[in-house]
Amino acid sequence: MSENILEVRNLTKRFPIKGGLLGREVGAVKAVNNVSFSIKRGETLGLVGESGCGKTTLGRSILRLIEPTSGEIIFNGKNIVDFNSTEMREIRRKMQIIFQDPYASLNPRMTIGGILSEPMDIHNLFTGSEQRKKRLHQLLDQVQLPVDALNKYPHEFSGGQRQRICIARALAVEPEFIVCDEPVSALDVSVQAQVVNLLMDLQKELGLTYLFIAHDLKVVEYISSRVAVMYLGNMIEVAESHELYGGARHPYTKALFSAIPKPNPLVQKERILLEGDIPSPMNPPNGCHFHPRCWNATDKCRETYPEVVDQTATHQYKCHNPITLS
Amino acid sequence: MAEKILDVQDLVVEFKTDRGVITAVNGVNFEVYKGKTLGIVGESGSGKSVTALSVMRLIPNPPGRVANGQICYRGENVLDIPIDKMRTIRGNKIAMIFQEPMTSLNPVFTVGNQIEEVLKLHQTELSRDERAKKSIEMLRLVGIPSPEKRVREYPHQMSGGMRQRVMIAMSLACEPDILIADEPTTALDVTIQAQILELMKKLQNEMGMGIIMITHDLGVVAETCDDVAVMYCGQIVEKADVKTLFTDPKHPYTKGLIESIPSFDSTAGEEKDRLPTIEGMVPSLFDLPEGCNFQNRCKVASEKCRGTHGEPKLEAVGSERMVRCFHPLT
Amino acid sequence: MSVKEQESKSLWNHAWDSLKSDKMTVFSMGIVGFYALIALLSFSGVIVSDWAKEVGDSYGAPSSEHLFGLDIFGRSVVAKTAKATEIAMSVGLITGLFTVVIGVTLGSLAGYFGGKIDEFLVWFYTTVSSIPQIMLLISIAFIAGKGLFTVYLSLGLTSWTGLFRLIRGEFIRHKNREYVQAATAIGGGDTRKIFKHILPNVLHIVIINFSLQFQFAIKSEVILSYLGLGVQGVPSWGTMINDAKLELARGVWWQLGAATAAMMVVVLAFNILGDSLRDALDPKLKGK
Repeated sequence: MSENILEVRNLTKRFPIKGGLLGREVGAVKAVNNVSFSIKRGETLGLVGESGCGKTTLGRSILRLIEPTSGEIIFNGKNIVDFNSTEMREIRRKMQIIFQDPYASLNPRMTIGGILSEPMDIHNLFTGSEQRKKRLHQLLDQVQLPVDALNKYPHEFSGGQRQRICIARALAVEPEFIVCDEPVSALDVSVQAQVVNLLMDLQKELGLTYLFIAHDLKVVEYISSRVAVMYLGNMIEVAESHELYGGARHPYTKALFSAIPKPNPLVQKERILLEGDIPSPMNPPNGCHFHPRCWNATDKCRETYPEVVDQTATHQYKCHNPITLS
Repeated sequence: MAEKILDVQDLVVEFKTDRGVITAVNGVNFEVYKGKTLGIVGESGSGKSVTALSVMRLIPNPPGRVANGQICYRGENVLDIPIDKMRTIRGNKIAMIFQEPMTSLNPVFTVGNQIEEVLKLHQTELSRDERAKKSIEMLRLVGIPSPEKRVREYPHQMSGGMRQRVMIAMSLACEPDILIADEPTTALDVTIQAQILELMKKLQNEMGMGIIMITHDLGVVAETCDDVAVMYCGQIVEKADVKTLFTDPKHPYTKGLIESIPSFDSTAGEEKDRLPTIEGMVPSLFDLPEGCNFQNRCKVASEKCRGTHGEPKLEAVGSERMVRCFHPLT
Repeated sequence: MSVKEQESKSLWNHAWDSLKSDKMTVFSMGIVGFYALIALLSFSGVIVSDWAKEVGDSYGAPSSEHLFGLDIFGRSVVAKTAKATEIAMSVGLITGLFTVVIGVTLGSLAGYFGGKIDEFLVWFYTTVSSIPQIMLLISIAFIAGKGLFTVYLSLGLTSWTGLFRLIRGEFIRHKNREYVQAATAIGGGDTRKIFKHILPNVLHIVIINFSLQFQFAIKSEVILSYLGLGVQGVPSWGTMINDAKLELARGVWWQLGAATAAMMVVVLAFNILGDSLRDALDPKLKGK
């Protein structure tokens, strides 16, 4: 088995914009634009970026919840983009997702027992009532929920508890890879840490691989071994966590991290303030998409889109005029 | 010594629900000074937003009501004054900005119109042309480029950051003494948040108003606030200046919150420890325990905290700080 | 983590509790139940099977024995009204069933699958709904002939449009909700998503719509019968009101009064019930 559980090559998702009298296509939004990366078995790749960067679309495209426009998604050595529905169903056992909104991702009319049983029913696992019961108890135990939760309904639980139920559901079919799409953003601060710890414990215990999508950079840095930064549909920098936070090469990455308010009033740091707004993905600037807000921009930046630069085996970025390291 | 412009004492706010009466704010005291920022930090159910709304007398009645307390603006208790006098204060002397700029701005009016409306209400001596000019000036003040053009735009034509700037422009149009900011940057991207916080600081330096910053983000508190009040289940559990609060928190809840934030200090290949957490969940306001509200989640709770000594009171510890705890940390 | 020790309540339980607690709603449910009971008893012949019997003088006035007097043939108006209740309730029920089956099937297909299927169904819906319903009713009645079956057919084939639109909208909304995406992610197929996930969450709309349709069907039957296209040989509120045209000139108001009153009460009850159902069933989706 290869070291990489997932390899994404040149993945693009474009959403056509219809307009005019006849509803013809008048333009397109490239929500994900020619993105390539890989994730090693057992690691956590963090994915960060602001509105319109495409990180949520990317996460869902990998699972084909949104159908990619072009590109390859190689999972355990096989390209799943062309899989038919039977083959996809098999794969869905191995790749799971946890969503951001714990209130919208559970069917309000089903009991917790029903919600957790469903994936096992679909894939014919843990059949036989004794085995099933044992498995359900095991799942609840793993996410630290009491056994009497099985007969209850989602509305009887808090946000943090619901998120645990979502995690249990994802674990029910013994997956290898989980896309965590902003799993803690909607939770109270004191609960976020609990859920982050749970995810990390489960990863160690079950050998899971995560793609951790979030906009809270502190949490992402904490849980991830490598972090990828996206801007307007492009992956502009990938590096190991510690490399990125100290030695970012792309100006946007540097600005992004410097913008985070630090919970330490004694530190007076130099903060980079970006000018202007995040441009709309419907009309990205020419050349490098970041150049209108970039203080390092040169003429080349305004004209040509930068190619990938491999700084080390683990650190890549796309920039004509990167930050110089001290 | 900065001038005290707002003095809230013993504020109690109740809400009637199907399941009974809950006390969303239970005996809250704080002061706001000119040119300084007071942070009110808390999670859901802490009562921070209700506190802010009470200062403006915006608690819907029914089902809510201010059961007790005084809110003294420049020495006068705004809870006692007649409603039309309160209206002359709202938007004029005390202004508020909210979390969701899309729903707080009226989608069918231009941004210019909305700023002018504030001026029409409170600065009646201005003529129409003067109002129009002033609204352009306000947009310029909050850093919106080409304000003469943008003044005729509608909220949906602007980005989230821009709309929040418009909200700030509206709130500052009459040069208020106090600005209440209820989670003003929570819905914004991080780079935009940085811009907005910077803008608020700059405007405070220029205009000298006091700011009440309501948030759950301790990073925002550390960067913008001079003094901080931490709220839990409707009560203030710790009050201190910002440096003291972060370097030496005395209430276990405050300490727990600060510790549960991951910090950027990883080095290569280091095995990450689990994040320190506050176990359990915020109790429902219908189901508060006897004694200290925090006892079920507290690492240093003892028998004393479970109701035998009543509830802990907010008491001074040292010179510049107050804590509500039977076992403040050392 | 203390979750109260009480029997777990589903959203349906909560809705029922909410309905039970409002007096007007309980009263309305009682009225509807009462009408249903009369209809059932009449249908099975337990009561008023002899509604056609002549019991007195033609146009007899209301008395203690015959509360609403007698009609032109000396038949008891109260008996006729009760018999007509059977007609009205059956029209409401059958129409409701037609509406639900057609509206939900077409609406869910259109909303869930989108694309060409949706385009075709929306075109079809637009065509049917742009023809005034009365005209459709009359046309079908002319083709199929007069009678109760025609009433069922014509109302059933034309009343589904409102529900179609609602169900289609709900399916479009729910299709992209995260709990449905989650069903895809765990490997669920279309059938499971439609029947197990979305439909139960859309059922409350069907229930509310059914209760509102019911009274609309009753009113439509009255209009049809008034136009002479409705039931034959058996009294219905519509035919009673139709007959009243001739009677009013003679100062005979009791048949009109009985039919109108009977109709108004049940329509009002359904209206109140429909509103209460909407309040009880709708906002629970967030459950916070």
